[in-house]
Amino acid sequence: LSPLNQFQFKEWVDDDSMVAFSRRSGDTHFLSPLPLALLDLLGQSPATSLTLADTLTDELGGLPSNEAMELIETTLIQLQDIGLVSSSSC
Amino acid sequence: LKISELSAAELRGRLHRGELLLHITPFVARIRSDIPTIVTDIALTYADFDVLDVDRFADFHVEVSRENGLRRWIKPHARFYFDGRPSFIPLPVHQAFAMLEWGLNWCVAAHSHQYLIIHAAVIEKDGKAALLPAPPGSGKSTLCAGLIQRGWRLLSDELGLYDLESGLIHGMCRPVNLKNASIDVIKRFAPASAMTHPVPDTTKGTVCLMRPPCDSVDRRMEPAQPTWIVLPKYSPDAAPLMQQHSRAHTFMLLAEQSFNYDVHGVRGFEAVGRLIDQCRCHQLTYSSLDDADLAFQQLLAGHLQ
Repeated sequence: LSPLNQFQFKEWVDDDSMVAFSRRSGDTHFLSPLPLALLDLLGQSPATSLTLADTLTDELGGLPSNEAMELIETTLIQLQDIGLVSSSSC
Repeated sequence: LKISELSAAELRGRLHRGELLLHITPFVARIRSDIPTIVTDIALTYADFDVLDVDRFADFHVEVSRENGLRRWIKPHARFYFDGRPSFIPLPVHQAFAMLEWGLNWCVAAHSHQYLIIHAAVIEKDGKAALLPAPPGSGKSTLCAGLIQRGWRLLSDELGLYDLESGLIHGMCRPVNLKNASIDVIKRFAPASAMTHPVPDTTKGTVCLMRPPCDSVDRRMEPAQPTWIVLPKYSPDAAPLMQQHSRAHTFMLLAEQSFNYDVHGVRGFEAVGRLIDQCRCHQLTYSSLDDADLAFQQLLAGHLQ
């Protein structure tokens, strides 16, 4: 996870999505349940997209599919683009 | 003294001299014009507004005048001036009043950052305001025009001014802008409503402006408590459906539909967040104004959460 203090979040108890404001760019982002789940997992420890897919499918039941892997990778790239996630080669 | 009490000659004289001040609360606009249709259209749509003293401070000084030169005689055009400077491209003179209204919208949207300015209709009943934010074509103005015929107070059909300090919403109670098919819809729904002659061939199609209800004009200085955000969605032949709408999605829509959200930075983010906190968020799918009226009655009665 990138340092989260550059973001301000807003959530509601009756909504499973939230919004985030980037103090750096001034942009506001919509966060649906999948990116929120990924952020939650990455908040616990750094992980690869494969590990994230495994964890999510374990929790939700079923096997990780190619579509799920693609969706997770696309979402991680989006989170990286807005500065919520950073990647490491280690 | 109300504008309706001025003779045509007095109103024309004030407009020629730049001495007509409109109290579009919380602003005052000083208007100058030499165009006859502006005289008649102001007389019709701003009839219930007070005539202000000519020495009164004005926030916006605007003028809509005929272009000079050959343009005066062949396909005459009019131009909008703000603080004496020409703004926007000239438009055919028959669009002059619509241009004045659009120009006033721009004056407010570009210069009033003490408010979060939301592209939304705002109506109120029993002290509770409903914001109807929506992109063009969603039926926002039509719905607003219909509901103000059924006892809702008009704050605005176009610009909601959210006070960042008080959390209240203001409107200017200016004429309601109707376009294309909605003109006949409202004429059928409210045959007694006063409207300007339809103006064809504008960038928005055929437009006309409807006089705001007298009671709304009299109460235009009263802000209201935002209570609902309702996203209108006109869908021909659809059964009426008022559904709860995601707050996060509504947040993003409000941010997109706000003219100065980006100007406020984190303060804008917090303001929209507070506004969403204050309100219940819905999407209304409707195909008739009678259905929409019933849905809003249920909302007001607390039958929809």
